[in-house]
Amino acid sequence: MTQDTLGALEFQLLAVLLEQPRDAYGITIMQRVEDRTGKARSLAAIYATLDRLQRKGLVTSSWGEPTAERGGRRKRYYEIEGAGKEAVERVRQATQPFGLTSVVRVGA
Amino acid sequence: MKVFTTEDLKLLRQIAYGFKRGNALRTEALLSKADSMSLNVCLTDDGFMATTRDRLIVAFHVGEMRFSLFDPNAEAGPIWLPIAAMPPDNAERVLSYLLRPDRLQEALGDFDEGFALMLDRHGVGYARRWYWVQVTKLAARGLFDAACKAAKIWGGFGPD
Repeated sequence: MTQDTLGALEFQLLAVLLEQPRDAYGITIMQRVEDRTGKARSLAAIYATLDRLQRKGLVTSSWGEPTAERGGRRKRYYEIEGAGKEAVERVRQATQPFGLTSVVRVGA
Repeated sequence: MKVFTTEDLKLLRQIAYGFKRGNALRTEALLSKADSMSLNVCLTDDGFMATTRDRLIVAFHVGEMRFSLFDPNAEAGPIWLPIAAMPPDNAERVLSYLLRPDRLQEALGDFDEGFALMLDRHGVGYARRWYWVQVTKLAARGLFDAACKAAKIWGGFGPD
């Protein structure tokens, strides 16, 4: 996948982060993608896609505080960047006539 | 004030297995570790109980391998669950060889939280299956990434 294209899961993750920016970390993102698409995704796929989006500069992450229900481990929160919002918008505009959200060129 | 964490519960489960298997040396070592973690463990007729200063109690019935986490001042009696209803604790050992430390911390926390969620929604069997499927998929991806990294170093092969 090149810098200016978005895969289906990349688009879904960006859309989730755009629509529900609060409390977005691994398990909540996984649930929201499942609610949105009706398809269960593994955390491995979610992490790999989030890593890719970070490398593309579309998403950033920050660490939260450790909590007891996570065995004293910290959450990693993800946030969509301006470039990510633009990418989602471009995909929506490009795919609107076809009802598609798969691999689409989003570069200028 | 200390509350029970999943790490505490995992340690207490190991103690229960130590008792069950009659491994006195290991049980003794685990009890010392519990003491160092400010967990007050006392033996009972059926197994043992552990308390913290926030009044919560976890009781283990070693013969039937059940546990209960309850507030002794609450009106409802304790609810007993099979020990299998606790998140598995072997995943860390497997994944620590394959993942970066930051990803390991993130993933294990998400797995524990996801396990509790699946337990609530679908029951013990589903939650344990879900947990191990997630661990296996993440381990496979970690292995693939490590192989790609090695291939890039040694032969200039692998994704950019």
